[in-house]
Amino acid sequence: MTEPRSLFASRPEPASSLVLSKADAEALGKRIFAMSTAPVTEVTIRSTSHANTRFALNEVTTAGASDSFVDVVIHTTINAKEGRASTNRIDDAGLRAAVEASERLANLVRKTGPGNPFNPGGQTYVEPTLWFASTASALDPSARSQVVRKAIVSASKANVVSAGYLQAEARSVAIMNKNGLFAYVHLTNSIYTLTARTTDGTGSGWAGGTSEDWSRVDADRIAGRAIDLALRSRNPVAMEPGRYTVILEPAALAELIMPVIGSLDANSSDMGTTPFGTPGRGNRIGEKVLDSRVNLTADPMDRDGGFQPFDYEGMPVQKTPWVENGVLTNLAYMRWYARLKDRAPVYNPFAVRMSGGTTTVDEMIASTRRGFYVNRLSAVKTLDAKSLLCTGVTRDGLFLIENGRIVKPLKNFRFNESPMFILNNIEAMGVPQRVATSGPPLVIPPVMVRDFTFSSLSDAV
Amino acid sequence: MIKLASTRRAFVKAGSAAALAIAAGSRRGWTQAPDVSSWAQLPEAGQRELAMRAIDAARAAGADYADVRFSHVTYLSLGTSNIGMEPPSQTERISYGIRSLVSGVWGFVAGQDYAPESVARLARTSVLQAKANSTGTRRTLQLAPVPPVPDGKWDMAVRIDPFKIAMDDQLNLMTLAIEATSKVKATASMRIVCGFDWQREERIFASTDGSFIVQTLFRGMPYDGGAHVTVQARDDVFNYASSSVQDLDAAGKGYEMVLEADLVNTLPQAAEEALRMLSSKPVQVGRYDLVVHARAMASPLSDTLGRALEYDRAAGLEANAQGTSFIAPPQDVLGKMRAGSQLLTVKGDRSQPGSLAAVGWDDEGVKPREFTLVKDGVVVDYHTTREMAMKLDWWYKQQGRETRSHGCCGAGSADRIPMQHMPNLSMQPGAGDLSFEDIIADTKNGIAISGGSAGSIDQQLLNGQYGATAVQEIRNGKLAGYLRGLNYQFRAPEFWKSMDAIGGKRSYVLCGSSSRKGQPLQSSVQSIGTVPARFRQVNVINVGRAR
Repeated sequence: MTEPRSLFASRPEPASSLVLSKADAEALGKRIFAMSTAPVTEVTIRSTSHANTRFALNEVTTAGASDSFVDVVIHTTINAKEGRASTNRIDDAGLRAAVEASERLANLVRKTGPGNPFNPGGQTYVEPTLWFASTASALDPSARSQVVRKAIVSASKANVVSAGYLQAEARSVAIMNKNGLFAYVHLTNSIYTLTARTTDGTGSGWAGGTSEDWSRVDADRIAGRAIDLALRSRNPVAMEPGRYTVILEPAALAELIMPVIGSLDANSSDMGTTPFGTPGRGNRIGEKVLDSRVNLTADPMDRDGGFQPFDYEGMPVQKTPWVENGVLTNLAYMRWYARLKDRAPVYNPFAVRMSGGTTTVDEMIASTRRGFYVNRLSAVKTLDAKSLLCTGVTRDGLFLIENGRIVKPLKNFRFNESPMFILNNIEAMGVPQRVATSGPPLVIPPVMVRDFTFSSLSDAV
Repeated sequence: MIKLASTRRAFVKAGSAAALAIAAGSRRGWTQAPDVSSWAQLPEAGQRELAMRAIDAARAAGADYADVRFSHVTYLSLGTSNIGMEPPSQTERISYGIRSLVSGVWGFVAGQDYAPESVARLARTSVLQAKANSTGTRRTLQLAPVPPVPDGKWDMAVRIDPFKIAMDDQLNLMTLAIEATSKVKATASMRIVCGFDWQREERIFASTDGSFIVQTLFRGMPYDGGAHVTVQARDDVFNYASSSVQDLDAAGKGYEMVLEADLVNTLPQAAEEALRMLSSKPVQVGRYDLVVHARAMASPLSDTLGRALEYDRAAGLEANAQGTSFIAPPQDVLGKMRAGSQLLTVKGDRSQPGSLAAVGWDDEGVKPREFTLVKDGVVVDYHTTREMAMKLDWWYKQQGRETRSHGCCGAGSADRIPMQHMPNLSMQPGAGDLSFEDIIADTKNGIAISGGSAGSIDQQLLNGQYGATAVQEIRNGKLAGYLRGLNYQFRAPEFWKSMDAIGGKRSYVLCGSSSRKGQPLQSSVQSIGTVPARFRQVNVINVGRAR
């Protein structure tokens, strides 16, 4: 891509500094500590700037930005009783009001929590590179405009209707206490998504990309792919619901991986209410739970999906393997539960890399005698926490594959299926890719799986 | 001239530019906030002057139209349970957003710095955001007329300001209700939760049309799923059920909603219902007549017809966000499309007292009025903003009606651009004064659904699959025991057309609801007025596991 590679700020208006620096955050924290009387006081300071451009019906509709917001959360513990107050008034009066509110709320608590208050000292953190000048450097909104205009021109030429969204964001997070804890990170993020629909309303395609580093998001490719999917998905035909071999793009599989990540909890697994535990027998750490090719890992240093290297209490987060070669190796232990079980807490950042393989999607299609290609799933809802049975729908590109070729577009389906079943029915896996989500980073491969259950037609486009 | 500090003293030395990796541009140091850090602390003349500063700066920079919202929100969250008390919390957030229209493109900037020159700077920036995209053809965008409101004032009529009730007294009431519930004889373990989230917002709106409006809004939200009880059989972790005090629902009300809910009596009743629900049998797959309680109607109504009648969805403006609509395109469906049976009439109204979306004026200065969306089953209108009302000018002219916005413009928070959000919706009661029980008695065999209902719906709001917390079999017009594992599937138009019985005025309730849309995502809250109804031959599946 040759477009200007930065998305923020404005000319000729002077650019703002985007987020609080480490020194700024530390100084703000010290001001708060000077106001608080409680010895156990933790402060979380978040600062954010963002800019976005939105388009629909092949026209730019809105372009917006937010100017350096700062939010402070003051968490006070008095005799094991906790209170919290947040404010974005960072003058002395605003901060003092929040400190007093936090202490007043802590004193209100009747039953106290177990044990001694949590008041850790200084920690050591890994240092992922999460701030990229390509995203954060100060240029004008016309850089964003240029990117989206190019997509709009391509869509118009192809006679499809495009709608899309481009956002760049800079954030910093600092967590500190009076006992020497100080965690700080500053990070950027960019996301670009595009939906193309045919003018007759029968075809729709979607593509997207996200990265801390805007220069890694290929906007032209995203637009081209959404437009191509829209054109190819025109005039879909209905097929009988049933069990089919499916090729799931990373964005589709990600929707089913999220409930799995959400179930990696020791307390509920010990009770047997997740797939990772059995009632009366405790959790299944050490047991084979998924296909032996599946690894699920959260790593703040991940080159494609790194994240904040500390948890919401400022404690360090290291690489955590959840599933290795299909075997459950870890579960998240909340601090209270870890204390109960006399072991170290394990934090779940809800970010994950799933291991993949080397099979390309084209090779998967070529090896499919009869099955579906699924570009995207949505409206996914977990129906049963134990089996992880989920329902949801396909959208923005569903095709029939016969004898190694895509032969026609299909009307969408509703599915009722469990990711635990999917991840035990894998035929092939591709190279993991960062999925365009606005939440924690997900790096997921395309997969080919057998016997995916579609329960009914869902004929929306 | 108002007295806000004009230059702000650096509260710390500016951080290292290198560390921030900011490549270019002059850098505004992080500065000391002024003595007055919220517009809400200014006298009204000062508030007006600050708002005008934004409006004048946007106009001078070339905006065809501009508006500004200042917001000061306070949240208080208090809750406890029979197991322990979650840390209470309070949040104060002040922010503002300036929206400018230039050649048909909206520019928007949000800020939290109230120095007058900062407000003016951001107003100019919002114009620049729009101008950066105005290089091509001028986009056609007109705003429906609205009379200016030069001195508007509206306070939501709450009887008891929850922020004036001592927190200790609120906790005392919750503790009494939990203690009373703990005395319910139970063979299962019980988790009893009770709490409230309160919200108060002071909001100012001003526009280049000459409006200046000050409003105070309140919202009461049940905490963590409301006052509810979850029971779990001691010998089977998968046999659990939950029931809540249904009258303690999110509303545009004050502390009176807690007193009205009579928690000391109703929370134990919820526990008793949850315990009864533990004895259930698996639902058999098939087609059934469903009798849906008013409380269980809110989700399917708002998720299908409610969202599908958002004009921006129907027009394709939300295509890359939450999706489009099966009730589209407007020119083909207005006055023609049958979206439900003759019994179905749905209205929108942001002036309804006690409702979550109630306002004196919306976020572009429009006074809301009741309007009809579906009349006797036929689609006759959409939720609109000023921009959207003009797109439907042809339809209103055809109908001999005034072209005006329905007042559905809102910003999820002041730091989000205002857009169309779902207003309060009301399913109109039937002429006969039927109750939920009357409809059950009139149903030979079927299934009665009550409690909360939630589900999954596709991107055009057409095909849904929903479950419910309380499901009972109907045999010969009588309730015949609880069922488990039920999900019902539907295609929205067929579902609403199959409705053949509807509750009357007595059975009408207002339910709390929330909705998310836009990019970046923003949320809104609204009340959904519902009555019970019966739907014929709905597809039921069993999503439970064998125990």
